[in-house]
Amino acid sequence: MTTDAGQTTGGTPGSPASTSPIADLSYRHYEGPWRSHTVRWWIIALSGIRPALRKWWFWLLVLLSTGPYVLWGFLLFLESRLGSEFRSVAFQTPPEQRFATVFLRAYEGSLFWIMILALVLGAPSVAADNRTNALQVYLSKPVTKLDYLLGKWTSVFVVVALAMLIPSGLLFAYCMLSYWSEGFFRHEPWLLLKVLSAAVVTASAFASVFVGISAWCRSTMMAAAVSAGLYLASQVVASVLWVVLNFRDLQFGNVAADRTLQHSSIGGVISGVVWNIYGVVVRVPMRHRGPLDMVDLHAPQLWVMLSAYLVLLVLGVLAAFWRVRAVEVITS
Amino acid sequence: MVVASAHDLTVCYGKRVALRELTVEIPEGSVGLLGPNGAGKTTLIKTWLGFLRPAGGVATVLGMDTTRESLAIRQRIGLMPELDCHIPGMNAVSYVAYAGELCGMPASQALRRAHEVLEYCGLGEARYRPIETYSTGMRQRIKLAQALVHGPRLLLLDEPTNGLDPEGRTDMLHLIREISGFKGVSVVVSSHLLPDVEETCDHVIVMQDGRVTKQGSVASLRETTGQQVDVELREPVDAFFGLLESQGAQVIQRLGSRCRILLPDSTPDPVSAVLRAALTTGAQVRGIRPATRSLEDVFMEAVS
Amino acid sequence: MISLRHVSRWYGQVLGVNDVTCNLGPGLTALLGPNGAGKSTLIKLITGQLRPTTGVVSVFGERPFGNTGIMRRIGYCPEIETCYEEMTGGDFVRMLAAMAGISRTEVESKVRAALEAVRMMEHASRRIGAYSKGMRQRIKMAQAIVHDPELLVLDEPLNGLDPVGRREITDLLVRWAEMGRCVLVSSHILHEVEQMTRSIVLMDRGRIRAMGDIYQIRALIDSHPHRISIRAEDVRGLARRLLDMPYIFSVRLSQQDPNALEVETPSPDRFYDEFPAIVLRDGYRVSAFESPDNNLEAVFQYLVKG
Repeated sequence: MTTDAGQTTGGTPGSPASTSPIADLSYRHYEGPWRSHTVRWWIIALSGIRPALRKWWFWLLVLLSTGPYVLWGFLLFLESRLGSEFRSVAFQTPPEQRFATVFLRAYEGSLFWIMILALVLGAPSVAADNRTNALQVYLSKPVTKLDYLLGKWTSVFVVVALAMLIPSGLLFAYCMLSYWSEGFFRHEPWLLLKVLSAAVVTASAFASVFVGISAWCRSTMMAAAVSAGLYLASQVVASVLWVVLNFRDLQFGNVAADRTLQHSSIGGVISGVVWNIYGVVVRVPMRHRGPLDMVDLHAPQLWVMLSAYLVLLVLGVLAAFWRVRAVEVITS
Repeated sequence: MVVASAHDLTVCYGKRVALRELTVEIPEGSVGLLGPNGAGKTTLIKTWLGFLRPAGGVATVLGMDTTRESLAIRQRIGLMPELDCHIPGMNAVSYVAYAGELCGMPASQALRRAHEVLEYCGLGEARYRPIETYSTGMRQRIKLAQALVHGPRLLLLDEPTNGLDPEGRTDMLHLIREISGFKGVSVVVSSHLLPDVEETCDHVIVMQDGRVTKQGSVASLRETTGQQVDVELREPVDAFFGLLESQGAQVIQRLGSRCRILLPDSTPDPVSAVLRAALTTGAQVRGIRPATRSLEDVFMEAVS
Repeated sequence: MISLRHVSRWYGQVLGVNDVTCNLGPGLTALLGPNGAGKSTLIKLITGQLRPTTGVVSVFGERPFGNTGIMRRIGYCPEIETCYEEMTGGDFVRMLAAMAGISRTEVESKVRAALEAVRMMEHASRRIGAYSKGMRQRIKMAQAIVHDPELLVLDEPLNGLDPVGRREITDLLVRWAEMGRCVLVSSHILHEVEQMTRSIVLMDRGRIRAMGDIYQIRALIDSHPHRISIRAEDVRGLARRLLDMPYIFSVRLSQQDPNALEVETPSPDRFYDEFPAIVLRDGYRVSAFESPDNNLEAVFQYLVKG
């Protein structure tokens, strides 16, 4: 085993009396070094991050969420080849906003896969521990509830953020290399920061909500079902409400109505904040009145989205904090 | 030295008082913590781990106060919980190593120590298999391993033989006995199985309704008064009992072929007296020894 | 009451029980064996939850599998912990009493009697989810005895109970058996079994390894070398004396204890018959002697470990 006989015979520091040619392999204390408590949460986070990166489904979901980025990158490529006529068809945006628009549209296209990834990571995070009573192991060690939850939250956050940054980073690199001469940085000096904050906002919101739900469930399947159900239900309710309340406008084909309500779902809030981060006006063609009739879609109201996002963040964390209790470590 | 203590400790769950002004000291060595359900054993352990705030009084572990230094305490003690518990999706080695890392061991040291401790707990090649495939006995072993990995000075074992078959339980008791014999490790066993405690502990504390009703070394608690011997016969022979009783002895207990006999104080050698009676009546004695009270008797007396 | 003839049960390729033949009558019988020995399978076969792959199981002369008539005469206390968490203990027993076919007029009195027998009356209106392990065990017991079954089958009924509860339930089972009913209890805790009954069924790897009275089984093992440890004042003198006896083939002095020795003999009866005479005649001061082979633990070890 790891205790090698030669070392013991020579007299290890911990056992000065062992001069016998036969090694003593009975129980002994741990005499080695200790790490400080401050990084304890990161150890818990790493225990979630490392295995996730080795899973095939992680890479599959990254691949799927790369799809929209490839598509929009390709459109960008076509536009630069075919010239401004194509731009008017595909982008409908002022040239200085086109990069941000590309990133926003690609983001929206990949959000579903990112949600799935966050769900697969977040649902079991605490629920699986609940099922196997793992909390008893964690909390009987010098680990606080804060360490535990911060670790769980971070593991979801880091993996989701990473999954988002891989495709957007690739697209960013492509843009930078291809459009350097066309004033890529002059038009979009803050684009990299925007891409990063989009990932941070999305990953943090998903981590909070799904870890929060997971803490209340005793099985992964339960947590996944509740999370997915809540996500989709809020989407449906928000859309239906929006359609009902804006029925008159929509009847006349005015899709430019204020979209804040439509974005009042879990996914909507996240994408709403990100839309505000990119700060672009999306122009869509309206088939209703002929092919080239353009409508400007504005981002949902910033302060509503931002406060809703903060509520999600806090609510999820609080839910988890409320549920995970040290006292339950030993049941009577 | 006292490894854990409570002084006038009062602990409440909401309005319910679980421990009321409890004063107890756990000596070094191996100690059995006994008591019926709801006696407050679990509450006491939770308080020592720092999960419950005392409403009054002080609790200390290894000389540290539980309210202020709970992290430092948990660094130096190991808990083997009663319920089956493990970290999902890990094999035994990574699980125990992870438990070591949670205690603050560097990753490489934790892995080395995990192998060492698993070896010690008797988990062979199975340590590379996912824990979900383990039998109860193996799960019990890794629970002990994760409590030992960081080299604790005090080991709290909650129902350590729960669900084990006779063979597994013998092994586990042997292991506990061995660890508690090791210098510098104290063991507290909380168990409903009194023979387990009898076998592993030198000292016993019996609790009831949040109070200590009896404590002392196992040997002293098991002492009997007067000249009592436990005799085992091949077949119960009435003439044998009759003869002894005519000599002034009393048969205190009879369970099948086993009996406990109280001999008059004047008997010079109780064993010879019993053997002589057996020889005369033709009863075959299969065993004889000075009587000790079972821990169960001690327990029943303490809680009734 | 219960008879099994050449009963085997396999789960796919996994061994459950293998060619078991036995009869169980009234009284308390303990079912012993290591984990995976087939105890639970045997219990499920008897209570009609499993159909034997081959062979015939009969309980009260009928086949139990899927036989609801038989079910009403069997009380079964499973090992699993999952109960209806949201139900109160009383309602749980009441529901199972109704399912067992107790008429409406009798349900209340029977439920009450069962709850009192396991001392759960005061907790009957609490949610099962809030019960401790011992209370769950008791409520499972109550559920098993509520319909006055002629056959009571219990899988690890003492698990999780505190010593007081153990004694109560043990007494209850012994009383039940004394009333002439059949009680089959599986257990891992051998000393508990010794307090309950002398009649055991010992299973190992799907087969019955030994069955019958503990003393009889032990006596049969006596044909193998039997160890006796003796504590005396002059151990070396006693050892020399004992070596003269033809039926003793080893005497070992203890390394740890200067006053102890251990002898091995193939004929324990002769030893036990003659030993008192030797001690008394030659005046050795013996303070104790006993055989470490003389309890259920040793019987178990010998038969299961081989």
